Amino acid sequence: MECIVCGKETEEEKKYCKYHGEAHSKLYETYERWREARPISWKEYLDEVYERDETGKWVREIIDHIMQ
Amino acid sequence: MSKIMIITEKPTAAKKIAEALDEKGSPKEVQKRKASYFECSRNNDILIVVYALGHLFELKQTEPGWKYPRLDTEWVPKYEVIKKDKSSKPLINLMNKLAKDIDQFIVATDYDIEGSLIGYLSLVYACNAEPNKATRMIFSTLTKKDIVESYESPSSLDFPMIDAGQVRHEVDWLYGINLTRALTLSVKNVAGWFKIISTGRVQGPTLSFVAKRDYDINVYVPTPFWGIKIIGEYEGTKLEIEFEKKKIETLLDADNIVKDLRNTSATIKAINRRKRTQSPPSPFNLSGLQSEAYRHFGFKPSRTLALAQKLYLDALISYPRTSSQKIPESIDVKQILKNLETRKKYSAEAKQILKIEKLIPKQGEKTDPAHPAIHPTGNKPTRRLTPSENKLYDLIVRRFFALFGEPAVKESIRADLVSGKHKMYLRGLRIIEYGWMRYYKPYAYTKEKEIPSIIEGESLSLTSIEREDKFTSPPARYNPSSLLKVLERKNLGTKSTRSGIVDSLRSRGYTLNDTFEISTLGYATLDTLETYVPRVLSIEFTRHLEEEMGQIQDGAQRREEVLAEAKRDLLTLLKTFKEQEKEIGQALVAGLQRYWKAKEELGPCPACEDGTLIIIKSPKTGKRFVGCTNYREKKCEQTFALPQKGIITPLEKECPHCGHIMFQVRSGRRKWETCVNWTECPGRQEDIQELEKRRKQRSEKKEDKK
Ligand SMILES: [Zn+2]
Repeated sequence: MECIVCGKETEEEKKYCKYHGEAHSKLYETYERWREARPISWKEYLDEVYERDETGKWVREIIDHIMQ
Repeated sequence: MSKIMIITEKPTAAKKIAEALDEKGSPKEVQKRKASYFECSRNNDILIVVYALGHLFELKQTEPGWKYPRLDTEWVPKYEVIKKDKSSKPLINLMNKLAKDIDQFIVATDYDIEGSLIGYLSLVYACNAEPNKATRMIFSTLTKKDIVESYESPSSLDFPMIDAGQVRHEVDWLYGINLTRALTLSVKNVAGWFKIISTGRVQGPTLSFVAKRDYDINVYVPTPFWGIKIIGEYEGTKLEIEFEKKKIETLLDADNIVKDLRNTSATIKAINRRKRTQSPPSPFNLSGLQSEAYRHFGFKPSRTLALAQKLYLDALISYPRTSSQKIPESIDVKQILKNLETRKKYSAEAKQILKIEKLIPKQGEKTDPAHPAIHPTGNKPTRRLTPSENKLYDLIVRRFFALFGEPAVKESIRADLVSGKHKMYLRGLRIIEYGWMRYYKPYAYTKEKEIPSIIEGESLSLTSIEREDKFTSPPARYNPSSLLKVLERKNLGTKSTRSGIVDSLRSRGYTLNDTFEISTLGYATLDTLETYVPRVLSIEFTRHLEEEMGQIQDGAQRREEVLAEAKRDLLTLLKTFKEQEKEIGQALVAGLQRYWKAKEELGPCPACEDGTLIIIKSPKTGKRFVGCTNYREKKCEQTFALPQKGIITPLEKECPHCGHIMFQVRSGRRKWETCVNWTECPGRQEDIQELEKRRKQRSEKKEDKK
């Protein structure tokens, strides 16, 4: 399989390469932390994370992909 | 009367040595074709001072063929290996000719591993001399006094040091050449392309941990947290007050704290004063100097080394490639200070230090068997120093001064305040004794913070309480200086090779800029090595070799044994490689294809004939823009601005308004097409307005949330 973000070869039947896979799980994990910190919807969360300078570039690529 | 040949490392060193040893102080420079030497006389002897230009000899495989494995090497003149090299031939020929009627050979190259090896190879291969009969001049500065002393009491050649140098070259050659060929040929055999994919004994592990940091940054998702900004007032003075918790996890908690504290006052429960003495800093070794020069002037470590080298050759400072943080008693610090006293710029400080009865410089922990810590010689510059040289020299002089200073004494004050159930702090700092900091100005400074004299039981009114919205940040990127420190801490490479390794990551295309962002090629190479030959990336493996080389220098290991072991290990590694060559090649080819695609070429440059427009990220600001590939050669200065957010994909069409090439931007849910000339293009003013509008909306949204 090829990573649906960057086209790199992936392990077995996974959708993402190991880099985008990690960015993807970090993005989902961190949503829980945001929700504990303050009320926020998934959409708002993605928008805000996308705009922040601290956000990693692979995470931003994942968001690009989700929002498409 | 004897004829003595002195072998030095560089023309400038040769001249300094000849001037110091010639009885009249004016040696004759004899020009021979494209080389020269110095002739002088001393005690009825004729002294011939020749110079190398770094290494004149290089390793070459004994068996021909651009193949692997190749395990056997010999030393040959540099021009036989590096075809472009024009300077080694005349120098080797000159040494060879002059050596014929020499009675005594003296090696006077830099006293360290590389210098000793350069001297040895010149002696053996250019002069055909017997190394056991040659002697060694050892000095740490190029001042006349040190040169004459070392000439008058020479030692024998330092063979353990020479062996250590030789084995380092051999091992690095073996790993660098064989692994690079293995990688490059795996690509060639799969795809037919010839693109050098390099790795090396130290480069592999270095790339590996630089990439680990890049990875952590690339997968980083920030989380919000809050702080409380408190301003208090005491007798009309506004004071910044610190809330007890720096990090508040939830918005609700933060809002409640603000509510609790608004329109209240705080009582002073306790006042703690703490005096702290701070000893002078240690003398500079190379890495200490490099990190301080980066901190104050932004000089890259390799640049600091080059500048220090020049100051050394001018006899202004001692030998810079040292690990030592010690100023031994043999160094006449009083004389150095007296010399510095005659310089207007340093006279006040030097005068003051000379009043101290016992001049005992502060010593650091680290040692070096060959050289003392970096210090000024006290000599006056005989030429005008460049601004950068001046900066570095000033830093070295002032650090030297600081070694003689008293400890600095600082007092920190912390008042503990309470309002309801919340605690907070008021902090102050003042310097009671400047001590050594006086001498190290402007490189030592502490921001003092005055607080009014308050007493326990009094209260302050809290005039302003604000919630601060914050986010966590990813780990910091490496810079050339911090990376160098990590290499040193991990014991990778040596003080003379580290800065070259740091630079090589960039020149090999593995990193994109000075913040060590890893390129697609870097990741592709790394992934492949990790999957198929992880040992190449292992820090333990190369550190083990490093330790063994250290043992050779200490006389505890034999060069032949270390080399044999390194060859055995390499052969095993190459065998594993060969068995998987096809898979490795395929993985690298796929990576290269992505690398070329990711280079984000937009199309031909409109300003010059043969350039291509590419997307560049500014190393200074981190902002991206479009530049021309001819920029590096200073042939074209065409640039265009780019929107900073979103994914850019080139479009193979021209702008209908201005004719410039076009690209697509995809940012979140929005997608639009524009041209590289968008900021100027008459047809695209609405793009700019749109971007401006979105920016405004974003900041308003942020305001609303407050
Ligand atoms: Zn991917």
